[in-house]
Amino acid sequence: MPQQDNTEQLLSLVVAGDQSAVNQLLDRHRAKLRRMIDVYLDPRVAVRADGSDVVQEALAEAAVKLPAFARQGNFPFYPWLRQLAWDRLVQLHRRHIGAAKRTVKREQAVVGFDSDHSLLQLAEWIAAKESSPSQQRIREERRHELMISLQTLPEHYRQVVVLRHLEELQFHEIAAVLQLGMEAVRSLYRRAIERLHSLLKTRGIDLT
Amino acid sequence: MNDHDYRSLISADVDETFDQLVCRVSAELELGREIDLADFQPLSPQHATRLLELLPTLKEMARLRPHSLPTASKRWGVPDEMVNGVLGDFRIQREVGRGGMGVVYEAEQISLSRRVAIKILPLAGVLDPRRMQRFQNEARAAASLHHAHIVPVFSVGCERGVHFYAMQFIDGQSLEKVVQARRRDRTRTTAAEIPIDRLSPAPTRSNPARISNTNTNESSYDLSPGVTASRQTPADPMTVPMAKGSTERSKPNSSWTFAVAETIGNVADALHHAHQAGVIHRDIKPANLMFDAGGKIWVTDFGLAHIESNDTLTVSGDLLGTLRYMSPEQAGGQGYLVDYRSDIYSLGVTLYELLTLEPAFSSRDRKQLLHDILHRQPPPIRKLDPTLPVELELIVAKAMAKEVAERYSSALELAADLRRFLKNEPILARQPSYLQRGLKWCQRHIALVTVVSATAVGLCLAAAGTSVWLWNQAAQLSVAVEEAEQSKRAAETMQERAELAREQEVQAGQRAVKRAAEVKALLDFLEENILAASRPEGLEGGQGREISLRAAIDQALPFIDQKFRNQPEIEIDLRRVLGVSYKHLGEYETAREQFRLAYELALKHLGVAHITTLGSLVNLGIAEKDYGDFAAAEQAFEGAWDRLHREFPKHPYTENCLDCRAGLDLVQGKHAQAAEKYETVLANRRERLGIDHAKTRSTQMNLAMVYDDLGRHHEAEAMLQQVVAAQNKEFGSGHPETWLALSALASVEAKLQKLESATKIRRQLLQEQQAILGDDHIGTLGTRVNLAMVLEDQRQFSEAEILLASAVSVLKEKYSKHKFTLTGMNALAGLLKAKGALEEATNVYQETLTLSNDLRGPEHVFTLGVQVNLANCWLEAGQSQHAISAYRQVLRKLQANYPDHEFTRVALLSLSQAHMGLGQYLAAIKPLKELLDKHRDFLPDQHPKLIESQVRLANCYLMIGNMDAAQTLLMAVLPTLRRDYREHELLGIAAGDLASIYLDQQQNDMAVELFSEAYQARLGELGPSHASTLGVLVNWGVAEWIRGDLNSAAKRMEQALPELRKNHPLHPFYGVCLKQLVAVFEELERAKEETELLQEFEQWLVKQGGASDPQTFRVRVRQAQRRGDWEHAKKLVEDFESQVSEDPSDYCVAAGMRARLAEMAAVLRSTDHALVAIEHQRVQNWLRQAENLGAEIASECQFDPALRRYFLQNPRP
Repeated sequence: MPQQDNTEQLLSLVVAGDQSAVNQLLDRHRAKLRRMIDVYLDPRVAVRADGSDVVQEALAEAAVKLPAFARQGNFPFYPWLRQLAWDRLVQLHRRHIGAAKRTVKREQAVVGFDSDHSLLQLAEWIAAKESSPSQQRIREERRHELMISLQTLPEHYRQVVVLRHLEELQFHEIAAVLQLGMEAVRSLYRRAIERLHSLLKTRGIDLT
Repeated sequence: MNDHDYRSLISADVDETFDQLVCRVSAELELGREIDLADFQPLSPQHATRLLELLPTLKEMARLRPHSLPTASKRWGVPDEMVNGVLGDFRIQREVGRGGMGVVYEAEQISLSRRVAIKILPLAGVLDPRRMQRFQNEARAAASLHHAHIVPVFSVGCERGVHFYAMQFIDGQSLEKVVQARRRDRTRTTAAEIPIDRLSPAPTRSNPARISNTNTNESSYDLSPGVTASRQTPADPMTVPMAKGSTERSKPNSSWTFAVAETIGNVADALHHAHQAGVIHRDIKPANLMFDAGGKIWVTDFGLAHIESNDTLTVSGDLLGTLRYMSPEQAGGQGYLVDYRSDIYSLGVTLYELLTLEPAFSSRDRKQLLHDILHRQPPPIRKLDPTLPVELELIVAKAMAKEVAERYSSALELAADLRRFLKNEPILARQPSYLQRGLKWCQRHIALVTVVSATAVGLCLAAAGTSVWLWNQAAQLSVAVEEAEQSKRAAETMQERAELAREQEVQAGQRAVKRAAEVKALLDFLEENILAASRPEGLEGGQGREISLRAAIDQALPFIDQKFRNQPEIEIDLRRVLGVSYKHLGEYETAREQFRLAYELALKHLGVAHITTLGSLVNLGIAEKDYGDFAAAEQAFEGAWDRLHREFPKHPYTENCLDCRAGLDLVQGKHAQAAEKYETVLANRRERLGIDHAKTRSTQMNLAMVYDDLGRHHEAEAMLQQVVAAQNKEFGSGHPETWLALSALASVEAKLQKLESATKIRRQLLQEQQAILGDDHIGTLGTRVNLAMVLEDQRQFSEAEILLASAVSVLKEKYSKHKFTLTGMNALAGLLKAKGALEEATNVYQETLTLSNDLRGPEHVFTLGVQVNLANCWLEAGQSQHAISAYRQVLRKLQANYPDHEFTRVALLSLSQAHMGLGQYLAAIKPLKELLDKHRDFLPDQHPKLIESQVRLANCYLMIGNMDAAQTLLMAVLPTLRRDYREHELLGIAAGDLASIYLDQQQNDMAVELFSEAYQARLGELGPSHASTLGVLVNWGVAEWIRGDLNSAAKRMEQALPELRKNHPLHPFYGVCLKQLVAVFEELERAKEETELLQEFEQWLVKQGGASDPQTFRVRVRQAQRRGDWEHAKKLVEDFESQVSEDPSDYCVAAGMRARLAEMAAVLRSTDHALVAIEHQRVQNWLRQAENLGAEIASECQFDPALRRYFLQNPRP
């Protein structure tokens, strides 16, 4: 992550009571948080609620809790922030998509890595990279293929890919989010890439 | 997906080097770098090929990152200032590892040009200073340790905000890696040829005599596993003396076993050295034990454990590795209990893993792991590997005993026992006795049993008394077993000397033997038929225990009859235990059945006066109470009590019985009686057991809750704080007993309106219970319900609703028959109602009612309570008549069966409110008076509920005109209200009502003062725009007017008017204000304002549908008068008179209008004296008629300016 070390410096300023450090710290994660919300916000909910509100609310909550968090120590900052936003996102979905019928366990799945929406997003981004029309057509096909490949990717693999490449988390942050050790995350990621690679290959997609 | 899936997947194919490589490439690509494989040396050809294959996909994925920009000096994972950097005296060279506690680099100490390992601590700059200080202290203490097996710490310091720790560089391999490698070997090779650890140096023979030479420097370099293994190889007959039960030593992997024993012995020596210096390691695990290149074992990371705390453990998955080896007291968060014996435990767990190559606690789920550490015994090592020597099994078991006191009392003893084993001497560790077995059985189950009642206390106090019951039962049982065993041993000795022994002693011995056999049979039955099935092995998920216990009991039930046909005493015991289990599963009916069977058996075989029979009868009473049959419970308790207190006055059962009777009083709402009994029990227990006994505290807790119900919150709070502190001290946090006390404290705090504190406690409880019991445990669910209720009190409806809705759905699904389910549903409905979702609330209440009808029956007090709640919904929805008939119906049942229960009082209050809402004040008085009488019986004088019912009753009296009764009541409560209820609704009502009474008595100054007080109270509670606040303001104005201060009157009303106009355009207060203000302006001759308001008032009246209302006529007549339109005024008056109803107020209105006509006549037709006289005559007529109907002319007419002027000219006699 860019400016990772600055994050730690800012955190120590927060501990020292520097209010501007709080704002600075939160401000620079706003875009990233927004991206995360975009990835997971269910389109059905998106028409009724604004993702930026979720970000704003989460940042407001974070501003209050930040000093305590910073004092407490060694849990990575962004995964913590992300969790606050995630909780709000879950709440939002719960509010909008029939709360009463779900148990807590099922609620977790409401906003989930298995949501097709996050896949769609991933594929859109890939397609959006190209500018020339002919390339775009090729891209269009590739996007379709990638979409299918990602869909056939087992859920846990897809999850780590989404965290790494859509949310742009560092491996140690992914470890914190998934509550796994570093070794496990690295292994998971490597395997996900291998699987993705072989899926693309069997579909005849040449990426080189 | 759940965690297990990842893990199985990961462990199936570990390829760390390649994983790291892929991730490194991914990170490089993220920074926008080109990938040159030369940068990644050393790289095996195989890895290079695989990497090249994956590279396009990695690049494709990396292209997705629009936000990543290359930064110049950045290299993966290493902070800028570290790269080839210098940190103080150290030059960083390369990263050699990283873990939860930071990154380790190889470095050079410049001044001494020696190789060191430097550990950089994570986020060191933001550790709290106290913890940092503690870390520094510990690290310095660790640095002072000098031992052959402790990695020397060179320095501890801080450079440019980076905290680090420099130690001797050990070039070698941690035991963790050794175990991993060995585990792989085991799966790859056949059992016949397991190689000795391939990572240790080649075995060299050494002098066996040096085995005993431990803890010295010269021996230390030969102590690699390989070396020691060679000493003890079976090939050397000198060193393999055979021992009874130890024939396993000839097995091929025994060399590993001995090497392990020796290695751990050395580690234990090192630990002992540290412990003597007062340093505890706190994080002993294979990863922290290193073999150097010479095969010597080293303990690393001394003094580092403090920078991790339990709170980080709860969030970081990285630390599972650490948690796995933690002692129960560490894992359970009882930090203050952690001493050097915690290290002994962790070393025991390490030994376990080294010997079996399996972790003692293997769960990948943190909660499950915590739970296992606290409550589960891992399988004995010989179960995993029968070839292991029995001695080592005992040593491991003793080292990792859950009870601190059962472990080795020093690391040296552990080392000594290991060496005894190596030298084939008898070891000290022993098999646990029956007593311990019994106690362990209890421990494994106590969590289940007590936790259920932990939350019960908040919801239903009754359960508290029984919380430790099973524990006591089982403990007694174990004591009995122990005694029996002793007798048996004694008997055996006696039989040896049979000639000398007297006949009866032999018989006594035989009896004891028989009893021992019986109890053993019982224990075996439990062990084989119930516990076997309840073991968590092979079962998934945190609830496995509970569910399987349940299933096990269900299965065992049919066998009891057959198995114990001739052993009624065992069957009694067993049925009792089963009864308790069912009770805690919420199956009160089955539980009651078991208790009844136990009692009947006792009655038949032991007789009515036997203590066991009486005890069973008490238990039956408890079961009846739980089931909800209070009369049957009372009968059982009374029956038992009658004999117990006469024949066994000192017996614990007698005390228990009184305790239970108090509990019964309590559920029936007889708080005063309950308090009295609890006080007796408490006094007894204090005397008998001492102030610090668990049972004493449990009674204290119950008494505190009763005090709480009696409104003695502060006493209750103080008492509970004491109990919490004591429980914490004895059990630590995270223990069911502590939870119980905390839960009780939270409910008292809530009553004291310390809602934040209550919330904090509940949140803490929830967190701990979730961690230890899991999300779906009934105890956790209970706490969620309780937390939701506190949040509701703080109007945090959304979080409360989420908590409740989810808790209730789990409850309904998994505990459909548990009383918490009913409580939870009831709470959810209450929340919905408070939130204003009346319809949903009604539905949930209906559902609760149906369920309660099924589970508890239509006459049960809870069912009746839900009916009251449901009727409250109807009332709020405006279906007052419907509600009233429901209240009356429920009240009949409540009055008959539960006259003293709280619900009866709730129903009375609700009924009176329904009547008051309909303006039926007379009807409201009866239930209110009854309520007040009941409150007076049960509550202290100053109790809020008592005060409230007094104020409401006074209000009713006022409304029906019984001023004296109202005044008496109000005067009595006013001082309390002024002291404790400033800015409270009740003070507002009371002061306002009393002001009205004073006004009526023409004590106008007092009235004005009280209205001002009432206004302040309303303002504080409801704010300036609330209708009630404005109503008081208008009344205040009226009082000012009556007092004669017209300007003040105008001021008050003018203050109220804009708010009313804006916020309450349809509220009657708006009309009243307009009516009064119009009159005031007329009196003050503020003509312009009067004209405007007359118009506003007329429009308001018409909009209210009052075109033919007397007030409308009055306004219009006044308008005509102002215009001087005699004909119109006259016509209006005549119209009104033609339709006037027989009401003294209307007559007074008519009189006022005629007075205006007289005024107009006097002005417009000044010559026509007769006309004025005639109008005056008509005024007189109307007033007389009004008087004939009982009107008080003076007060009726005081707000009509025309009549006031009339009376000035024509004073009444």
